Amino acid sequence: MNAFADTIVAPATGAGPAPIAIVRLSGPKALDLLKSCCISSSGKTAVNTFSHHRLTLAQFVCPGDSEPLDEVMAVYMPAPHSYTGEDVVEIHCHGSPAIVAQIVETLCRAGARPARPGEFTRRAFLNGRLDLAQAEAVCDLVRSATASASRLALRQLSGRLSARVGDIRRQLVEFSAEIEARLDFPDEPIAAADRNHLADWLRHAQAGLADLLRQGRFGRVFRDGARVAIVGRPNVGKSSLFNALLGRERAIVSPHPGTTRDTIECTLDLRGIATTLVDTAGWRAAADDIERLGVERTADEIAQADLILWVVDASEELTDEDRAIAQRVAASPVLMICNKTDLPKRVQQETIGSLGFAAERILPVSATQREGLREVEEAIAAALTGGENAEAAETPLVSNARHLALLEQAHGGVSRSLDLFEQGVSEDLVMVEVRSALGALDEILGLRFADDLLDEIFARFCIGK
Amino acid sequence: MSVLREHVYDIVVVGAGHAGCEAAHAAARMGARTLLLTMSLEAIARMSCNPAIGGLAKGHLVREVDALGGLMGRAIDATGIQFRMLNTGKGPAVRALRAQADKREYSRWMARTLAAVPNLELAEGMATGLVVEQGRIVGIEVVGPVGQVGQIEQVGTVPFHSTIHNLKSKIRCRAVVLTTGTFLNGLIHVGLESHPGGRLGEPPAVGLSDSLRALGLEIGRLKTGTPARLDAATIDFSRLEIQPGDEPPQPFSFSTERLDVVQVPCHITYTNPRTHEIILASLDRSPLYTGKIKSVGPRYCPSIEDKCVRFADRDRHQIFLEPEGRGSNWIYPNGISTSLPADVQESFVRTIAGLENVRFLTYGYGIEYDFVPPTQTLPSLESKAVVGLFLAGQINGTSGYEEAAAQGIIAGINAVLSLRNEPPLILDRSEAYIGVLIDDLVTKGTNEPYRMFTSRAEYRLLLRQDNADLRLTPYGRKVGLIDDGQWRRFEAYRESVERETARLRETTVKASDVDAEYLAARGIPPINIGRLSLATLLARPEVRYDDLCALGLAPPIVTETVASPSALAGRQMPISRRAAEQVELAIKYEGYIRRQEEEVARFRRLESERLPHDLDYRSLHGLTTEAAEKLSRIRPISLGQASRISGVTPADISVLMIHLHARGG
Repeated sequence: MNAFADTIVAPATGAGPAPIAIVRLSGPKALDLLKSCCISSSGKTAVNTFSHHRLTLAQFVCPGDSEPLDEVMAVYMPAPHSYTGEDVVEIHCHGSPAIVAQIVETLCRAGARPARPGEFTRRAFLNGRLDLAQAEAVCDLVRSATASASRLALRQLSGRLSARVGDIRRQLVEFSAEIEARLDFPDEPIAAADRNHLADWLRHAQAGLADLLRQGRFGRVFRDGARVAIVGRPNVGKSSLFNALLGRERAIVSPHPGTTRDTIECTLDLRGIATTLVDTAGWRAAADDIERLGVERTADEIAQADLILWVVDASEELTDEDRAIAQRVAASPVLMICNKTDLPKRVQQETIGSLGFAAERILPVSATQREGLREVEEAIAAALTGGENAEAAETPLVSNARHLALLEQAHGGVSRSLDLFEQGVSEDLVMVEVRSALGALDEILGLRFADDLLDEIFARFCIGK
Repeated sequence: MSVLREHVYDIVVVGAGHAGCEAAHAAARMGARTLLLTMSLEAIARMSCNPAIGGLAKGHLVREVDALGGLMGRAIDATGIQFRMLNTGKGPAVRALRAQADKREYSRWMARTLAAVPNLELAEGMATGLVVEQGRIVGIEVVGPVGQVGQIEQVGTVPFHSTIHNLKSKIRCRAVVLTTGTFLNGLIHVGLESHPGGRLGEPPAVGLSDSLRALGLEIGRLKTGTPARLDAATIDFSRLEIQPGDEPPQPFSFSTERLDVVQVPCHITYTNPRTHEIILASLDRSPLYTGKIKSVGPRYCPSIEDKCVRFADRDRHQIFLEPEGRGSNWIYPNGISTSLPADVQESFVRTIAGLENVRFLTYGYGIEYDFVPPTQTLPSLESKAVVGLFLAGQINGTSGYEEAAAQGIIAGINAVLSLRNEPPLILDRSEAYIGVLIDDLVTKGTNEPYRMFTSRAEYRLLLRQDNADLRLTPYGRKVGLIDDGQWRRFEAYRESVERETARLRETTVKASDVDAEYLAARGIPPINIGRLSLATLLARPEVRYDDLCALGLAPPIVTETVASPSALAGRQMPISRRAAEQVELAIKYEGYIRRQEEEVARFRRLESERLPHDLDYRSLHGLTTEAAEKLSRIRPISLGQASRISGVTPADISVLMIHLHARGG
């Protein structure tokens, strides 16, 4: 009943160097993917047969490459006699993280999808492959997760979240009661409600949710790190800034525009935040296909990033391209970096002011002279955490991604219902949105079962591996 | 036991109220030999309380019963004296029909209709016990002249109550549907006086509760009440606000083409501070406030004494004066249900505008009655304790004619299906208010008389009164309650809706081809896209389907429910008014409808995870004791139902899910 169409891949062994590592594939295309990447160990012929449950020696080749990547042992376990109950392939390779990463990458390019945390176990579970003992182990985890959650509640952590969410829920319930009474009892002489007063319930709920979301996002930054994209037109010094912030040469810095054609990223510890810095391709009316590709990638990065560093060349006037980029990044959190302050300044203060950035978000820098970098780091940290310190983020109100997603859903529902209500749309339609928000809050409060709870469990706990 | 007669029926339906009539009709129409047993053939489908059918959520239920092939919609169309569509200013999910009935005519129409149903016999008698062998219904014990009276025409000449002591019969049957209303050990209260009774002037049903208890069923007690009835000739209507019906009136039943009815208005009056003073001064003589009535009454339909106490700041309460029939002098004053003593009733009612000199025809009363807490019942409405025993209506803890009828038709259908060893008809919460109603009852139980509200339905926008036939008539057809003629008309209607919806989605027009003057004259903003589909045009808030007709972009509308092919004029097949409205709703509310459909898909995932009937919850590792106990008692049919049981947490559902999927679990 639970047939999955796609084939997933991930290392089955832990990260870090080891003599042997195992890469696991599960799904209908597992065997095809294996065959497409293997040739016989002796010569250059393809390997056509992998006996069930037997290790076969083979050379792993990235399609298109002449040299094999690694000598591997592979085993094929057809459905349903495998861990997940699907067709499973395990590739035993040498344990270098680089080799493991390349094997996974090659298989993904050939059509596999990287497995999400816990996904193999989840498939095993949904395909009925967990035995009773394993199932009971999962049950215990469900129980203890709930028990520890309630212990935490006593210790004010998620108790504080429940109280806040409970408050917001009450606002929505009050609103619903006022609305539903009038819908279900049209003949009763219930006094006409003050619509503005009613809308206040929604406004309060909306503000409360927005506040929780903001705190949740900052908390997440400390826990999961952040993505910061460096964006700007060619030759304004993006790569120099990237290198200066990293403190070492990595990106190719050249005086010719458009050198960084693709994105390059590196993670650094920035004031306690695991910050992934992304250097993007120069943004301009693309000159060739590769550059156009780079520009598309940059657009993706802008959408994904938690913060944008928009770099301009302070030694030149702002160009049309600069202004186009300013528009492009306007919807995201942005720091404006005025680079090349070591050169004579051309760009006018008024010009910059006219773009509407807050003063603390405009930073003069000389990446090559390593001037102003400390201020940039401080500004990045401040922008990512909203000024909260790491200590406050240690005890975040919103402690997991599922809660954050549900709060987003509730916030969306409340915002839409407020719009509809203010437009005077019929209340039964307004209530569609309010109920969707209430449903999300009920899931956070554990009043309603959500079937992705199990995904969360399998993602968080290592079961049956 | 002087006489023991042997009769053989497939199904005996006990009680001929709104639940019993639907159950008996459905069972007989499906081919089962059916006996409808009532304590009084004069009282078939009697409206014990207000003379009205429908209203919010209730009107939805009537349409659903009709869509399945039931009687209530046709009965009220035939005997209604005023029809109103409520909430017309609101969205489509909360519009609902309500009608005032001619109470006597309603009862007669139902009696006549049932008498004409093949396989169905009606008889007077009182069920006193169930005959059960090996946990299965094999018969029913009856006191009364059963067998002497089999046809409705003979009624009236046999005074039943005088012969009650003469006959005790055992009737063999294979299934029983109990629809006992307020009759099970009914106790009527007027002031501090009380006497046994099923309704005013009618005896209660005794014996059956003990029989149910002996079979292991738990019995509970509920309370309800009704106001006095007043003589219209003594009311001064001239000073009262008048509420007429809609013109033209819309029918309930999908099979009623049009209503030709001269409508009768209702009147509105109000209580005042003097009324409240009298009531509050008499609480020491109220059975509710002296603790004489211990059972719980409905919060949404409080007695006037309750309203005065709980909402002391209100200086008036509204009263609808509803005529009980065309030309009848009986008036039902809706809003002043009471169990205060007769003299108090007279004094407070006569403080009310228009009622200063009113004559009482009967006094209001409270009534306590036995019910079977419905968590002991399966979603098919069959009792968990006894195979072949079905329960419907107030015995399941509900209130209202419509709620009763909805359960009645399902109980009748499922009694027949169980005799055929076929799976029961269980509508889920995303398909029908009937599904919401029954799921609430059997999953959560109730401690007050349960009434349906639209707010109880999660997928309200899908469960509209206008599309009940599209949702449910295929089920009615499948079980055999929709005949060939009805089915052909339904299919033609459904097809015309689908065809026209598709045409509007697929057909595009150039903005310049849409008559700009017409738009301007109708106050519709000009179109500023070059080309658009007719659906996009119709989706604009200001545009109605009639505008598309006027612009020559849609076929002409005809009034018949289904446009007949002979009405074909020119290229475009005309469309019925109802189909046009359905198309308009589907397109205008498409976004919301899609949202709800996505939620339904999510909901169905848990509903489709079936829980084995014999699962031993107490042995399941990881369940809390409370959850195990509740699950063992309710025995839900699906994970979805389990998730709605109070005290069963999301963690318990995860545990259940894990066990369901575990190998060997």
